[in-house]
Amino acid sequence: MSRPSAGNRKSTAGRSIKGEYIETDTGNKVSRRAKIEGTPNIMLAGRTVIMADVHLRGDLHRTADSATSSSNTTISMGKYTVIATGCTIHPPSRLSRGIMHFYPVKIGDHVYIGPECHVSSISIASHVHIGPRCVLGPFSIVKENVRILDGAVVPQGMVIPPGVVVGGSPARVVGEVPEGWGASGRAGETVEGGELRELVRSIRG
Amino acid sequence: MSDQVSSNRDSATFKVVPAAATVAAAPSKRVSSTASKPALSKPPTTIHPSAIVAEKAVLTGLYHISIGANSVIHPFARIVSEAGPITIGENVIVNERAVVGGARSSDGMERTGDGNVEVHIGNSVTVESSAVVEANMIGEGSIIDIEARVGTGARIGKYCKLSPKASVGANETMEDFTTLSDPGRRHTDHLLKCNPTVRALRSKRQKDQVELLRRLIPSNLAKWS
Repeated sequence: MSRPSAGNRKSTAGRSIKGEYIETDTGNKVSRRAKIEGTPNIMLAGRTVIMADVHLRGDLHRTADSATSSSNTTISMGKYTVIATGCTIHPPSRLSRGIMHFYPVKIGDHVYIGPECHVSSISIASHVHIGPRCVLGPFSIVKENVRILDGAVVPQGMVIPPGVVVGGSPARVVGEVPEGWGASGRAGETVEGGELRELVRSIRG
Repeated sequence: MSDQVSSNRDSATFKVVPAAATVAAAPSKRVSSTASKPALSKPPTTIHPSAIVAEKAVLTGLYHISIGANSVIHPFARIVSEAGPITIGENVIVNERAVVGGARSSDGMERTGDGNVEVHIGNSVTVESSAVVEANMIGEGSIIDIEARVGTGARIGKYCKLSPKASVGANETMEDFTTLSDPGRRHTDHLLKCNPTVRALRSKRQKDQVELLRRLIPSNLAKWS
């Protein structure tokens, strides 16, 4: 819950032009050009990267009269998750007990979401690699160690099982991820689906 | 270790490059690079008092824009009336990043005077994120899904559905109750066609959705009056 101190931010502002990213105490890097609505409802676990022109719709939260007393978190992201440029994360909505509700989007650790994707999934597990220009329909669920190929259109409510490759429009399972998916590459190297630590580190304000 | 991006923390930094029209309204010291662009014109509008137009929605162009009762324009949606007037019906939802209307130069089409560049969006239409609608007519209850495109002068019937990334070319026509999937396959939705109950439920769902959004999206109609 800590806020970055003024001094912390100043350290990145050594140059005359302010950096592209705002870095928080927990190491989140959020682009100044990201378009974020409803910021109090967005939970970043730390070392998450949100690139330019990413639209996060945190304002579409569960309405207050819902049974759960928990907070109104609409979008939560795990560690070392990278949201590339031009993505949109839009919580899905549906009728529940006669009342329309928006449902929160949960994204795990080490998830890479490629440029210009549209995400309305309800849950994306860890070590998922999503290629560019994908559409993840409302209430889709992506389990861990999944690769989604470029331009795939995942239909509404699809559950993608662990360890598969999906692609096409509408998306279907086209194979399995190779052995060792989710493991990190050699030192200083970022492999798809692996640890994104190096990638996150390489992005500087 | 969790860190909430809180609105009270320098919230201005998140809207450094607002959609172009808001630049003119709220110039800040960091937008100097975009200041050289000509300020976008504020179009004449008729917005029903019960419509919801988000603060960060963009309405721009030269021709008249009218928005019907209970319609929702999400933040960062763009309504561009540069080519011709735009009429949006009741209970319409236009999501973020969607573009309704379009620049005159988008496909070299000049205003011909035959009324083709006018855009009419019927009641209870949903335009999803990143969709581009330059159509002449979108019928009642249609859904234009994510990243779908409808070319200039196209006419879409009632209760049609364009799947994500589907596209309809300029001046094409879609019959009522047609579903268009991405590789260009069309089929008729007989369930909707034969069951008025299903259509009524669809319309009720749209109204529920609008009521939900009314509670979540602050409206700023004064900005456009």
